[in-house]
Amino acid sequence: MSTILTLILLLTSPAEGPVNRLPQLTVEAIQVDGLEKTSCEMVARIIGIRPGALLTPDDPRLEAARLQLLALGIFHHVEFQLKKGRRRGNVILIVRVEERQTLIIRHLFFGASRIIPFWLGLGLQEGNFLGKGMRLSVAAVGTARSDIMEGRPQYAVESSLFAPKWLPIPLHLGARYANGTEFYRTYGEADDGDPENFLSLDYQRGGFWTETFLPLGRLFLHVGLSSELLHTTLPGERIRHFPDGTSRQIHFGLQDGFSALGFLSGRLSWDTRDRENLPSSGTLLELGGRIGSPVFFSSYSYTRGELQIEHYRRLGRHIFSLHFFGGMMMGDPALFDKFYIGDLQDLVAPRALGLNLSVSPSPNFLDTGISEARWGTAAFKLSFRYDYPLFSRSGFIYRGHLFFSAGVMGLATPAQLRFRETSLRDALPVDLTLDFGLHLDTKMGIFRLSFANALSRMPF
Amino acid sequence: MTALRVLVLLAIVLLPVSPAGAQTPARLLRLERGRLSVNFSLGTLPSPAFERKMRSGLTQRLIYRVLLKENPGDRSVAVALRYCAVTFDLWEESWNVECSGRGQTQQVTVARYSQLLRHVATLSDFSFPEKVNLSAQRRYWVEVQVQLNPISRKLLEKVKLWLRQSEKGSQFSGYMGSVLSLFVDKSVGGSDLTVTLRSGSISGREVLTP
Repeated sequence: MSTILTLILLLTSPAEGPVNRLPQLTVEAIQVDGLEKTSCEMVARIIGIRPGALLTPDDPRLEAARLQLLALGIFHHVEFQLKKGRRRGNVILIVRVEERQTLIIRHLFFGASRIIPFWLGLGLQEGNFLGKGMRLSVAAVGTARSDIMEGRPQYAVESSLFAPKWLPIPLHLGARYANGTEFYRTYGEADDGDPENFLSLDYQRGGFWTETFLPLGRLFLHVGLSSELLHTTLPGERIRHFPDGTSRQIHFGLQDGFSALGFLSGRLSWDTRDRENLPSSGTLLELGGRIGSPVFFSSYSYTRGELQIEHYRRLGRHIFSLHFFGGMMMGDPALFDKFYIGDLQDLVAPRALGLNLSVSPSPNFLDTGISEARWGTAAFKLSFRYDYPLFSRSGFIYRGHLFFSAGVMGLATPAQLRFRETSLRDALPVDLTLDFGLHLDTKMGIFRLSFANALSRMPF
Repeated sequence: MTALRVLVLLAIVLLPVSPAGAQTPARLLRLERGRLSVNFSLGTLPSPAFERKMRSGLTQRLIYRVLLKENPGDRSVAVALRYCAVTFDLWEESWNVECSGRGQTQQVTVARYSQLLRHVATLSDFSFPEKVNLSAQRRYWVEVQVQLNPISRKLLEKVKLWLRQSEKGSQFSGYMGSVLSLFVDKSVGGSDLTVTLRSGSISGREVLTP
């Protein structure tokens, strides 16, 4: 537990109740019961009371220690008790804990698209790595060979470690590697997803990242740093042929050969939701930004800003929520750092560990210029969502919500609008997005069985 | 030691607390000189886990939230709070019980567990702080919520928020393609024990009749 959280707990621990004349006791020894995987030294360090220390039966340090242990997330239950020591006034502090199951499946990736016959992946998380309360996550995804000329399989792996107590501040450390392919249209209409209309660009990228967070009053500030090395081989053919006979150079958004992807990021978060999964009330507000610069070992100089707002309200059994995302970039970001259509449009397959799995365009319900947009430097999404709790009970599946969401999204680059060949209204890259289905909250996690989820994973 | 026990016995008899030896009046609600008081046994509160807590040697805090409700409407017409701190002396093998309510604090030491329960698992002549207007045409009942070692809501929210930040992990990881989103329910409880008890109902006419 971080020093910062320790201070919060000690300074705000409720000193409820009247003052009483309780005896001062001397801790003769500390006994920890119930540990199977967790290191006893780590528990003793968190408790912060050593043999020889003086305490009273209502000592606030004990309650603070109990919360710190619970906040590790590796114990179901933590209880303190005193036992008589060898002499009157001496006590043995007994700490009883019950450990949680800490190895869990974090993510499942699967699906198929016109350009990739199938992909499969898994993410695992060990919540009590080495018994030291650290969280180790590993994820990997692989695809079949792309159904495109010179296509090849893709794969990506990521690993991260969360260490709450190495330093006075909590620390995330991560590493990733990807051997992937990006697809660029060379022929056909913007809404034609035939793989023959695309060329592939192979790349390899790998690197490290780190992030920490700290409370600022009622907010939390996340700060991170990322650094990757990228290698690409730009294809010989670099021309996009339009149906009207014109042609244009393809802007790949990546440098040929080796380049560096690096950035410094920051995010402020204000969260009053009643719970993180399937909330029914409260607000989430997040404001974030990134800077890519040679100072942070980046070959691409850019800035990126994002705003995310979610607001939930319950009326009887009905839960309504409003969701907004907006982002803008300036400069010359690498392709991977731009906003991607699958990140915004529910009906397009999102990326998996950064891998691009589909060339499907946005459905274009409004008949605008959105079909051309796959990557952009300006993006927004505004949606409304309705949840109806079907059931809440004990058991493996303990909560189920029917949901419906609908909204509007947009993705663009300024050049698209500046050099348009149609009216502004027709060129505006906006579209409707929608989804409906069932959210199941289980002991293994939340499963989203939805129309968009199924559609985006099928080879249409 | 014998003298001490005699003194304790005298204190129990003489001090104006919910007397351990006195009989609990039968009527749930009693109106006397404009003051409405409750007599209610919290019989389901004690359990093996509760007794283990009471014998832990650490100060156990109990907060009682007593609501007077009326029917029809299921409306709360009065609320009163009571706070008790119970500490077991490992060497004397007795409990020091300190209870506060209505601006008064009462302290007593008891030697037997059954005596402790009479103090903490019974509301005896427990009065509401404000004048309560009762109607003879309505029925009333008492709802008591007892929390053992509650954590302040603000503190609990701080810890839960911290847990959420650690789970947010990284904005660097492209997990959006996952079918499964796992939010482990790392429940950090609000109290060791929360019990809500409800009495039977009594008509307002019966309460208002002396």
